[in-house]
This record gives sequence, structure tokens and C-alpha cells, in this order.
Amino acid sequence: MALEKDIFKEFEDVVGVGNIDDGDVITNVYAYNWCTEIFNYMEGKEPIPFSPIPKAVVLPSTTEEVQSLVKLCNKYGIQFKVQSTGLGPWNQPSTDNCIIFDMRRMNKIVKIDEKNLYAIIEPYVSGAQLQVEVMKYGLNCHMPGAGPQVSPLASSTSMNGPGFTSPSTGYSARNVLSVEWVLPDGEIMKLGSYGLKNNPDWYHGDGPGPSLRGIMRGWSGTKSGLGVFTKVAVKLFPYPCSTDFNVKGNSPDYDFDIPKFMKLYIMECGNFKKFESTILRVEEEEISFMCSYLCNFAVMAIFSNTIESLMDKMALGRMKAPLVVLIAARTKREFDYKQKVMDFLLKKLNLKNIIRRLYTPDPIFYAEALRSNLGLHGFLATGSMQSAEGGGDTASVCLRSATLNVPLKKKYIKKGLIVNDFGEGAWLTSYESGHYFHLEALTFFDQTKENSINGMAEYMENSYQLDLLKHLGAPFFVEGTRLHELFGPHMSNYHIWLRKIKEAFDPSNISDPGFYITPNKKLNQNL
Amino acid sequence: MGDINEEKDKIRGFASLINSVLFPLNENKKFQENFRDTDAKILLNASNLNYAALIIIHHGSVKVKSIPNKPKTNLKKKKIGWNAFLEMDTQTFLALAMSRISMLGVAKMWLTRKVKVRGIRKLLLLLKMFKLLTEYNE
Repeated sequence: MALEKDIFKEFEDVVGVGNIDDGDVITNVYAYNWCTEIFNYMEGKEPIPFSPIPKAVVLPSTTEEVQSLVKLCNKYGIQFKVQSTGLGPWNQPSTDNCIIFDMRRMNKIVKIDEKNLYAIIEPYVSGAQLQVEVMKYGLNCHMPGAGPQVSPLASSTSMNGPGFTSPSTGYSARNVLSVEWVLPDGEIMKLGSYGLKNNPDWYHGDGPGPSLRGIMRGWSGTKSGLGVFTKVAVKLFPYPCSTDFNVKGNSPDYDFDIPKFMKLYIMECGNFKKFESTILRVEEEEISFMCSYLCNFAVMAIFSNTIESLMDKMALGRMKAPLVVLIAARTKREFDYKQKVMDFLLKKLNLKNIIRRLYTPDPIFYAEALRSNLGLHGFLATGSMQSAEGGGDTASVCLRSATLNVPLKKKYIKKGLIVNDFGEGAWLTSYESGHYFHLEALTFFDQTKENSINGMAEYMENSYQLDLLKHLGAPFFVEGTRLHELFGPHMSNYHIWLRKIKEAFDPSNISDPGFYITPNKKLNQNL
Repeated sequence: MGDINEEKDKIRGFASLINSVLFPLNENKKFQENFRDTDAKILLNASNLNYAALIIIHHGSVKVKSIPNKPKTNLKKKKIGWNAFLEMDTQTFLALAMSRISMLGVAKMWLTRKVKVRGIRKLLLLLKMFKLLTEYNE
């Protein structure tokens, strides 16, 4: 399926010798990705962790090169799929008539504007890289729960991006400012203040200058279904505490001097009713750096690096509705105020903080919280994890979703197809001090067993049905034509508009629509 | 010789898990006080694993040993001298330890022979121990 020689040469002329490969070894490796097996099963294919094999992999280094590559794809009718840091099936081609653009050569932090609180980055800059550079200015960036290893550009332009710090930093859609975007026809679009005719700059995403944030990414991004994002400005925030890190030891058992003004609270609310009133009350005060519900195993996991260390925290596992709150401050006065508020709320709500009473975390926990590294612990138990259920809505809808999911999940646990978390595996976080909430039902399965993969996929499918039947909104992994057409009719026919956008911006369907929506399909006139 | 003995005393499989759960009690003042006069051996066997856990409570301290559960004669009361015996699969055990199954639920499983119990009075000690794990040190 490699490229014809003269076509290969044209692509090579754009990126240079050594920056394109259509050999079996490279293209087969790029066909692999985490959890691809589940999506294959859902589409009626063999449940293997490989997507269609791309025709070639190219590594552009500039926006102009990307533009030329896109034009070549149009010329020869070859689709392209773009990946930045490349985590997950969303990076995979949906057909074998596809070239992967691997953006790893575009890896620069172009600018840090500490005065106006934004940074301009290229696709292969990781969250960890960006954070460590902006920390030098006493600043911080939002990072998605997937971890600091992923690309903030990919998350802010093309994915959903809830994170552990979402109570204080929002989610990825709320962090994107100006954007440089190579459209599916090869034209360059500049969004926000970067698109101004006079004095263009990157400080704003919605104006002055053209705003197309809704079309560009909407709620959860197009996953490379609508062109290539080559640069983006993202918001920066004041770092929540001192940036003087003192870390010793070896991975993963580092020692860390906990910053002076940080305090962790874990409170057992006992049930979701009390949990809901508690999280709303805490978030109303706008004091938390993090504020999450973590199911019992997840609370155990964020403090553990091995199965053994997970199990010795079984006492934490007896909690039914734990609320995890981390407060941080830059001055003693700010810290005293936040502690005073928490003390008041604990007393008023008749709750106790179990930290230091029942459990004292190792100092490394605080470093991992600051570096947005807590999500990684979720992968330790079996190595195969995916989220089903959940979405973004009020705390009430999210918790209802978590509750209704339990009996469904238990069915698959009983059959031995997914890991037993008592059906409760879930993470909920507040967005922006409780104005909005995110929930996802984390589920572990065994990637090495076909029946476990199939069971996981069926569970996910049935969780979609549950969302529709019980009016729980759209889970954040609704992507691809089939699911948009499933949910669209229940949600103001948004899929019709989505398809119109795709058709307007990409009439030749060159930008791989696998995780977005296909064009050129007759609209259902009955709707 | 030292190495060989260490290897012999190594806590294995399911017993290692139980040890992880119960070991912190040795630093729990309430446990030390409440179990000051207790001397008991409780054998927990995970029916789906290879090692049983022998929990030895001795005057305010607790330790766990692993016992190979095959052949079944290894688990005989005469051989080990246990005061209570509990057999269930690990999933049920986790549910019990994490308070995700009620005593009624365990009783139902006992009736259907999914759980085997001997010496129920001493087994209540185990539930008391689990409860102590979640009590706050003020």
C-alpha cells in the first residue's frame, strides 16, 4: 500500500530526505495505538490494537511544509491524519488511503508572554515541557487528565481536556486563544487576535479578529477531521504556590519538599446526595486548586505506585463518596484564609478530613498533583483502561450518571469481562469553581483477552444507550459518524450541522473523518 | 542460611495482600488496647489463588503467614491450629474488606456454599479489625 514512487518523491521534496517513510516497519508501527482494539470491535472489525496501516508517515517541520503536504494530499486524493504526541486511537487513520502527519519536528515553545499570561506552542510541545518553562516565571498551564506527557496544542484544539486542576484552570476548550490552522484545502486560517489585519498578536481567541472556536473544535474537538493546527496560544495562570521544587531520589519513589502553603483534604461524604451538596458548597467559595470525586479504588491509586502499595490502602477503599480537595496558596495570608474557609465548611457540613488522621500521603503526591501526574496511576492496575459513560453537565446529572452506571457495569463484572471495581469506578471534577462538572466512568479490562476487549466494548455501547434512555447527555467520547448519528437526533440534530461544517470546510474529505463525521451523506429529511 | 530462611518466611500471594491490609494495625493504639488479651489464629483461604493467609493475633499485635492451599490437608485445623476459618474468592474478600457486601450478603453466599465459615465467633474479630482500619486517630 506504499506510495507510488513519483508521489513519494513529491512529498519527500517538501519535508526533506529522511522525513518520510512508507516502509512496512514504520507504517506498521504507526498502525498501533492504545485501545484501538475496542474501537475496532465496535465497528465490527477484528478486535486487534491496529488501525488500517497508513500509506506513509511524514514529519513536517514548518507550517509551510504542512500546507504543501495538505495540497499534495488534495492533488492525489489521499487522506491525512495528524498526530502530535499521539496518545490513543483518535490518532489513527480510518482507511488505508491515508498518510500520517507526525508533528514531532514542530516542537518549539514559540513565546511565553508572562505579562499577558499566554504561551504560543507548536504541536509536539508536551504539557510537562511547557509547564517547566512557564514555572520559571511563576506561572502554570492547564493540563488534561491524560497527563503531562500529552500535547496541550492537541488537547486545546482537538480534544476535550478535563484535568485534575479543572476547578482552577478550566478545561482545554477554555484555554485556547489564537490559532494557526491549515484548513483541509491547504489555506491558512488565523483565528482570534492573530487574524487581525493590523497588529496581529496571539492574546485572544474570539476577537478582536475572527472567532470560529465553535466550528474549529466545538465541545470535544474534531480529532484531525478538519485540518491541521500548527500553532496555538494557550492561557497561563499564576502558579498556585511556590515554584521552588526540591526533589530527591529515584523514580517512582521520589522525595519532595512539600510547598509551605498546600493542604490536602479527603472527606467521606457517605453518599452522593451529601457529596453533591458538599462539592457545590466547597466550590462556591472558589478556593480549591483541585476538587474531585474519586471512587474508592481511584483514591487508593493516586497514592500508589504498585499493586502492593495499592492494597495497603484498603482502609481508604471503604469510603463510598469521597471528596478530594487540594488547596494551595502563594502567601501565608491567602493560605490562612483558605484553611479557615475549609475548617468552617467541615464543621458546618459535619465532615472530617481523613488526611493525617487515617492516612498521610507521601510527599511525592503533592509534586504529582502540581505536575498533573495523578492520572497515570489509573493505568497501573492492568495497563488497559478506557472511559465509558459520563460527560459534562451539572453535578446532579453527572452523579446520576455515575449511579445509574453501577448496575450496568456490574453485569460485565459478574461475567468476568472487566475488572471488579464494584461498578463504582469513576472520576468527577468541577470545572471553574463548580460552574460545570465532568464525569467519566474509568474501567479496566484485559487487552490480552479477546472476551475482555469485547466485553469492554459492549459495556461502552450499552452505556451509550443508557445515556439516551435516561437523558444523561452525551458522553465525551461520542465521536465518529455512527455515534454522532446515534446521539444527534436526541440533541437538536447537531449531527446535521456538524456534517454541514465538514462539507463546507472539506468537500473532498481529505482530512480523515474517522473520529469526526463523514460528509456527502444524504440528510435524513424526516428529521 | 539467612537467605534461605528469608525465602521460607516470605509472605506470598493472597497472604501478602492480607498482610498489606492488616499490618498498619500494629501501629494502631486502639487495636493494641482492644486486642491486648486476644490470642487467635484465623485462616483465610482465597479459593481462586494458591496461598491461604494465616492471621495470627497475639496480645495486641498481628502478623500474617502464607500457607500453600494445595493439597487441602495443609489447611486442616489439626495441622495449623486455627480458631476460625473463612474461604471465599478474592473478589468477595475485597468486597467484605471494603464494606461493599453486607453480612446478609455473606450469609447468602454461605448458604449457597460460595463462602465457607468455621468458628464464626472468632471471625467477628476480623470484622472488628477491618473497622479499626477506618477509624480516625484524633
